Amino acid sequence: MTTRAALFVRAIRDPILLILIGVLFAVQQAGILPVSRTWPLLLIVIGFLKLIERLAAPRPSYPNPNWGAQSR
Amino acid sequence: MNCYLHPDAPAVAYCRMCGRALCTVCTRPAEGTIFCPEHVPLNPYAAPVGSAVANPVAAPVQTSPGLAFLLGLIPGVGAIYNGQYIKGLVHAIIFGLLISLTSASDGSAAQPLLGMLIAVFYCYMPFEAYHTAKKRQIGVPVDEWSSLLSQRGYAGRAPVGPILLIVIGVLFLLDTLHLIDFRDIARFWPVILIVLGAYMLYSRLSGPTPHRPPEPQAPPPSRPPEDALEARNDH
Amino acid sequence: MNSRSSLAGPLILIAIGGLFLAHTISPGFDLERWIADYWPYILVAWGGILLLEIAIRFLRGAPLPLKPVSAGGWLAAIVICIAGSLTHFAHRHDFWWHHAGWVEGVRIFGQEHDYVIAPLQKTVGPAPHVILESFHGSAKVGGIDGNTVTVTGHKAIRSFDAHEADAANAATPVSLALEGNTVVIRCKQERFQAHTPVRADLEIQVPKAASVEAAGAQGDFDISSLTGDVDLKNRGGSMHIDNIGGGVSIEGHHSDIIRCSGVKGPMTVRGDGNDLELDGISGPVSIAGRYLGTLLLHQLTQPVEISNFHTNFHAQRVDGEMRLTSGDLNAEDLVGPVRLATHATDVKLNGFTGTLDVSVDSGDVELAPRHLPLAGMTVHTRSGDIELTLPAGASFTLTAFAARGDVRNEFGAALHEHSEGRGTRLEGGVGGGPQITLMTGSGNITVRRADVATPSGAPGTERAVGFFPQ
Repeated sequence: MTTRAALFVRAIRDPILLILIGVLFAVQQAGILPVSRTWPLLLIVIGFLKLIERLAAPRPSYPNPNWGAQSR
Repeated sequence: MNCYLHPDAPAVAYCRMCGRALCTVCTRPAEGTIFCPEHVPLNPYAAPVGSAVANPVAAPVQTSPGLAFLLGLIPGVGAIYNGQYIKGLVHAIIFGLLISLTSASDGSAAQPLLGMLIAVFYCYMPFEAYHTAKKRQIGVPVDEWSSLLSQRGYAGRAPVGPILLIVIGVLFLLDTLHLIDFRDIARFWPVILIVLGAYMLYSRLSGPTPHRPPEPQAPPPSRPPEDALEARNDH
Repeated sequence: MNSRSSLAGPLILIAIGGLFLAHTISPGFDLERWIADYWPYILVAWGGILLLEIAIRFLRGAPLPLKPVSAGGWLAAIVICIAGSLTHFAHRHDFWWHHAGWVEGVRIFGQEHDYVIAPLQKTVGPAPHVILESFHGSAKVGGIDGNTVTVTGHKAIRSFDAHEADAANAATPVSLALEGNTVVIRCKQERFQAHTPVRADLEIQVPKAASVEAAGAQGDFDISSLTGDVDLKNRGGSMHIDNIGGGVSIEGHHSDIIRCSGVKGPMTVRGDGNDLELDGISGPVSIAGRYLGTLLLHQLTQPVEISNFHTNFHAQRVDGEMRLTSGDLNAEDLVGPVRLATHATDVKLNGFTGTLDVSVDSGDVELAPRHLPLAGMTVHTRSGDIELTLPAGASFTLTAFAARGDVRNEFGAALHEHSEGRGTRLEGGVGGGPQITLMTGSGNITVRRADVATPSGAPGTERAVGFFPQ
């Protein structure tokens, strides 16, 4: 996986969310399930996309150079 | 303390890698934290969304931190004052959710806890708005999701955030689809406190583990920086 | 690389323009209903186009945007969601927006010209069959003494100039023809609907013993005081039917409100719509359709049957009132045998008699029979609480089982509880009366006596927000 793949996943997050919101409301209009029952799908999809993004290119964490320094 | 490159400019931040003092011209924000021009990572993926990557130092903005504080008393408006619209919406949503959860848990032991959370969050919002406004006033660039809590990378450890989001989403979905009853699971909410405490315990006992060894440098300053505007939480 | 350079905006703008253009060209194309039904697809299309663009950029190696949807874009999306949801509600019968003329505001081009329909009258037999052929508009049909059929009313024609309107008026005469015992009223609007929408609002008087068959669209129908049968088909309007001696058959699509009262014959209601109210029906009633609003039954003296994809209901009589909304069923004084099978609904039955068979997938059930003697009851819910309040002096044999929950015996010593596996069972009885069986897969069961004051409040029926246990 490359950082470019991670950038791609991040870039498509917005459009995918737009589509999902549209689909949830369309399902509500069709009388199948109201949005008040399907909204957690949004959380799941956001989390899922963030997960893939994180797996594609994990962000390094940096040490704090002052850990262990004497405090006054 | 003055900048290591400009001896007569006051320091506004310290490099995450080497700890050297930086003035407003020299700070290089990346990955939610600040570096000196030598150590700023060149990885294009490193730029946090919404930050001024092409323009590493933000021009100081005319803000009034006092006004930000007052506006922060209205949920979401503090962040809107600082131009962080989505964050304002998220603050308002969190606040609304806390209120509705508190009233829904009438009679349950969770209600006082939620009440305290409301109080804590309500106090957090104006302070966070105040500090963000102050940063912008001095010229420290802030991105959309700045907060008083520090942002830590999670390399090598599990990506907690997304997994948590997915788990919560699945739980809520199973409840709204009436496949499970949230009330059954919600009985076990104190487990969250225990897990949180255990996690904090573990992370402090095992000590901070640097993912990359710092490059050989002049020894870091011997006293911790005092008025670093960058958030620190290693207390 | 940001949302400004995306093609989505212009494409959607063109599509919206095309939609309004289609409506102008052929006003038969019901634009408001189309917007109200299909607006979410704007978001789907927008997201889809963006997705496609980003995928293409990725494959080409071009830089990818960091923020495909700007903050303003999200704001627009939120506004679309709010506005779209409002159009959904704006079609409800009593929404104030409807009366404020928003519906007409969509058709902003052209002016409306009003024409009076010259009265038509024909002499007929005492019990003719009156057919009102499909047309756009409203009709009010009333039964009177005598043996004539009279048609009056007026037309509203929308066009750009008066000449076109006059021509359209001349070309769509309302005709009243007598063919044997059948009277046919025609509005002949089809040819002109294309560019000059014609709407006819008719007032028709028929002999009391007539039977009426009518079909219409976008209008309200009001039929009353007949002893014959009524057969009504309507799209997107409301229907009021009152005082009919024969049977009534209704087929509505996207109907606003359907209100029937004083019908002596059998009633059949099909289709989908918002609200449905039946009051004082002396014939058997059969309802098959999706009513997203409120279904209200009051004083039905014959068996009533409701069947749609999430609820099946049958009762012998409705002496009191039954109200069914999506998620709640409240009924007073049902007469059994009562059978109910539904998915996610909270059920509350007060004062029912006769046997009861309730099966709910997820929802709370509250039963309070008031009249003695009791008859058998079977209540199953897969997830939800069951609360039964028995009247004093009742004679019954009770078996209650909560597979994962508590059983609360507030009735007294006649019932005994013991745990069984992970659940609790409550058994007992008074006077060896009919069998009452209460079962829940996950939830609590409470059995109490009507004359015993209980300190606890009603169990929460707000399933959506009641996360935490009491």
